[in-house]
Amino acid sequence: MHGPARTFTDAHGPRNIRWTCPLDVSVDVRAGPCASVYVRAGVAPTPMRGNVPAPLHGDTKAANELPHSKTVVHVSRIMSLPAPPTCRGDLAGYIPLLRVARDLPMVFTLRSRRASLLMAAPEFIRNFAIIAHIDHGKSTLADRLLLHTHTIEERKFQDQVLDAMDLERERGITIKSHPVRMEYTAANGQVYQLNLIDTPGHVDFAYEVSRSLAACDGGLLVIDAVQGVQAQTVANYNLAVRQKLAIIPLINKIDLPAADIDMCTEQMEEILTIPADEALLVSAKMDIGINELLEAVITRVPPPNVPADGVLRALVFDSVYDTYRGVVSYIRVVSGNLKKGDKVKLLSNGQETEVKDLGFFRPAMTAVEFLGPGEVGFIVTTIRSPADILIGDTLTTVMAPCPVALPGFQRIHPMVFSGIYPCDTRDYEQLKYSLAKFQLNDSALQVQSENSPALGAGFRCGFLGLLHMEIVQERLHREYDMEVIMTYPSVIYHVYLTDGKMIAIDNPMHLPDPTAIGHIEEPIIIARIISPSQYLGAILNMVKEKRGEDIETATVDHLHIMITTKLPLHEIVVDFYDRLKTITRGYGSMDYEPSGYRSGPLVKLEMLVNGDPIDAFSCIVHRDCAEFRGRRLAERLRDVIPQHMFQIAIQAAIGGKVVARETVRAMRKDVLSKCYGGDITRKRKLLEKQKEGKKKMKEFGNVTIPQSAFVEILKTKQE
Amino acid sequence: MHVPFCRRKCGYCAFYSLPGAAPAQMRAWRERLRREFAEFAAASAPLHSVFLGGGTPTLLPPSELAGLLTDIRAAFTVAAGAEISSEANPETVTPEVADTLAAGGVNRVSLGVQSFQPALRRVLDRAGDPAAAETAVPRLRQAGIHNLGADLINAIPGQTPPLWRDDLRRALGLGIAHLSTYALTREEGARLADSFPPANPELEADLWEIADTETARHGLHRYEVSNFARPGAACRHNQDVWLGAAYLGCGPAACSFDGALRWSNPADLNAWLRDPVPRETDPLPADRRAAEILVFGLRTTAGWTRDLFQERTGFDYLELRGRELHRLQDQGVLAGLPDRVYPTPRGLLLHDHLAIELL
Ligand SMILES: Nc1nc2c(ncn2[C@@H]2O[C@H](COP(=O)(O)OP(=O)(O)OP(=O)(O)O)[C@@H](O)[C@H]2O)c(=O)[nH]1
Ligand code: SF4
Ligand SMILES: [Mg+2]
Repeated sequence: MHGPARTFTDAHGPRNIRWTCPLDVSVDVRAGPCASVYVRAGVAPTPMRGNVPAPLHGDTKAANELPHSKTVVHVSRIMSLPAPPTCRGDLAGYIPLLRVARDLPMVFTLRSRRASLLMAAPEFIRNFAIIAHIDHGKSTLADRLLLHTHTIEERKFQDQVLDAMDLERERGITIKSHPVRMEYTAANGQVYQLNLIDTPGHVDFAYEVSRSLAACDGGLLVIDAVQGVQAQTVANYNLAVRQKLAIIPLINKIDLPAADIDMCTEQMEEILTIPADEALLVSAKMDIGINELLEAVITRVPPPNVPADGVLRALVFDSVYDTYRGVVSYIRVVSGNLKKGDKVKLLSNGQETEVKDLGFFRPAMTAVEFLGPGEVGFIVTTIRSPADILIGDTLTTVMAPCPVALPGFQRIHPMVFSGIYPCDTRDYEQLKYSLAKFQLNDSALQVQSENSPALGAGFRCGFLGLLHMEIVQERLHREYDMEVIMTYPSVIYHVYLTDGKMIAIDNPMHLPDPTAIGHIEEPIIIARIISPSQYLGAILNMVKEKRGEDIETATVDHLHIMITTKLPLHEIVVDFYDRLKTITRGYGSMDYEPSGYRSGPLVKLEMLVNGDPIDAFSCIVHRDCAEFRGRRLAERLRDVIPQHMFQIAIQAAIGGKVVARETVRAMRKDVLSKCYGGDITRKRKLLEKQKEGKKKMKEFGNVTIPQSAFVEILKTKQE
Repeated sequence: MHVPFCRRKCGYCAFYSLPGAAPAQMRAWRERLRREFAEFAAASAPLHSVFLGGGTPTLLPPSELAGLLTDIRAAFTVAAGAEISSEANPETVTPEVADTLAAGGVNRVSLGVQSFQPALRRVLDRAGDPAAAETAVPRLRQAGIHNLGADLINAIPGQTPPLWRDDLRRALGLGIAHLSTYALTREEGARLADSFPPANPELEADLWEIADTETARHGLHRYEVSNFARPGAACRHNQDVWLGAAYLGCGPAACSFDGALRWSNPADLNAWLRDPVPRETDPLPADRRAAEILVFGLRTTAGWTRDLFQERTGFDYLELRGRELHRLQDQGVLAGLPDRVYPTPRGLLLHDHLAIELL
């Protein structure tokens, strides 16, 4: 049964191979620490499909027990060719390409899949991310690339296939970065391994983008041909430049009648200083320009730069929690090899662990034996808790660790804080459990327990922004069936006390007595707003109303302007973005980044319902706009608190002084008078449904406030 | 008795009824009804009330109508002095129909007027001559039926308080002893449901008060959320339903209650024609059933005495829902505790609220 033993020699010396079935083996030796082995069914007595000798077929473990060879898996298609391959360009039709790590005894992996999905030499790898402003077509472009490279079969395809989360699909947005590996046969005949990462466009998830870029050597900067360069285009471009990535600008959606390519190239030159002739013209949807794009990826994105020492260095750029596998870390192997069973350690804390599983995304997780230099993939280790794997950490071997860590990223700091409370106080434990589970998959979410006089026991949570907060609430509801209330969002204030001490508070409730406060500083951001020029006046008015300083304007092209300004973060948290969209008729876009702290006359605004302060609605605001804010909030509350059997007074107060008052009138009629023919069952069921709905309300004294009210008050009322 | 036939379907209606049914369907219906009577007759106590509703019972050809009334008496024992009511569309009340009803023992008729205003009838998409009621009333009296009532709908889009007052006055001017009125609701299954605007509780409360004032002038008083009557003329059948008494519903879509279990017939003539009838039951633990009965009894202005509730349900309401009842009494929507419990006038208007608290 056992085939002949053969010997071959590569750059690293001779090796013995013992075949476990009569296959012809030919060897292709390439540069780098790996060898490629091509297998051809030469002397196989029967067609191999369905007729593979038992120990060879599919079962890694069984194969492991074979003498002299380690692993043989998945032989499902073997083709007969007249001659063994001799050169790289001539491999089509041969099945398995095997890559053999230098320091191992011969290990074979036979696969029906095309070769370069498996370990490829770095020079045949291209790692790149797709970056853009929201909705400019990143995920659609990724779809197109997956189809062109036959990574996904046409019939299994659905739009924005990488957006796997229900919420992503429903909202049509990308929330998490999605890596995927493709195989591409270039015009030069060479097969390349492409590792693509689709990134989110929304500013709240900029951190996802910057992490993904760290795993890449190039970036496809997508610009919507109709909208042109937008705020996140600039922000993501800057991120990519900072990471020294090769950038391929591409103008997408050129199929649209309103596409304005000249405008886009002008904006590129003006604001991104990219020469116009670098841009590719693409329609992801209509499948235009994709081949040119793939060729550009090969020629313009450099292959991974691999340090020659062969030492394992892998960057952990993300990690998710999978119910079945546990913590799955996304890695980019910078140098060295990684295989199952390797003893590895994390450089930041010296924690040692073992590789249990590794692989790449296709886009589903697909196991492989090795990850080699330049490759992007995932590993599962013996580490159980996501908190123990620091994102940005360097993974190396225990035996021969790399001396210096790779440059990681700054730890992400939440910008916006809000209390999360169960609607029904009995659900506290369940909420605690849900949040802990949630955190496994969302490293940006911060959770701490807190107590509120009005709401009881709950959690103070830190978010990246308002969209992030909204998404957490929605996913808690959807995936954990938790009905929660979120309090009015706050930022972190630095409160300097008269005794010279500084305390940081993220909850207005904890603001000390005014007499103990020296001054308060609030976080500032630099905002970048891009809009058609005609809305400049309106935007400047809003920026001033929101206490913007250091306002600068620049031209983007002859029709668009970019405004940069420093604003208090608090001012943009609640309704800035919605209003910007309204005043610019949807054409304005905004991006921001933190820019230190600034002192200001800040006061606490309290909302009272029937005389009782409800901390869920309090906030810290600038003295000059406190009254205005109070009035607005009182009006909003009046609209969202349902009528009760009695009248409800809503007041806004600053330091105990009432500055605004609204009334919710008592309800007069609440009875479905029709009930006919003795059909009491039906009517009772209607009432029971209403009662069920009441569970989604929170009681404050004898006033019940629906959960939705807490969300509604954050939304701008369209005047 | 559910008579599932109508001349044509009104736009607001979600009851189960077949417009323009063929005589053969009516015969099949009667035939099946006789079997349904037989199914329950043996176990049934003497009937204290009979109610023919629909649909339009008076759309039946007089011979069928007379036959139906005979069938009932043949199958069940009807107690002496029982209330035998029928609904009637005013325009179907020919002298012959009036005589048939009277001859069959019907002693109470409720006329489905809904509105006298042609414009509002158009909104409801209800056919018929609004003046028909004015002819029907003397005809029924002549036939010997004196206990007469009318049904009106309020809160029809476009119905202002003066128009409502006008409808009430015209109906009450007929000298009726009973008035049913409910606010128009958007009901699933009604053809025009989507075209009606959402309810306006403020306006409905105003119309409610107008109904109280106008009926009082004619000596009628609200005895249930949507029913008014002269003293002694309250619909017994109706009250029994609210106060947890047992009743048997026959015909498609009819609902029944035997004191513990509720069930309903399919709202589909063909399904109901099958043997056995595919009925849907509504089982409920005894305490929740008692709470349900408590709630629906509070739709009547007289509400419950502690004894009656105990008798009907086997529960003491203070043990069952004492805390909630007292809280509602404190809120001013209930009164009378501990020996009685009934809604205050304000409580009646907020019945859904108290129902939700008590269920
Ligand atoms: N006409 C046209 N529409 C396109 C093209 N590419 C994308 N779209 C549409 O643009 C919308 C947004 O596409 P996505 O691919 O979800 O955009 P995205 O950049 O991934 O969005 P985020 O992940 O939310 O930032 C979708 O409705 C696409 O169908 C194109 O080439 N032509
Ligand atoms: S409202 Fe009465 S008459 Fe009109 S369709 Fe309905 S049941 Fe028939
Ligand atoms: Mg996307």
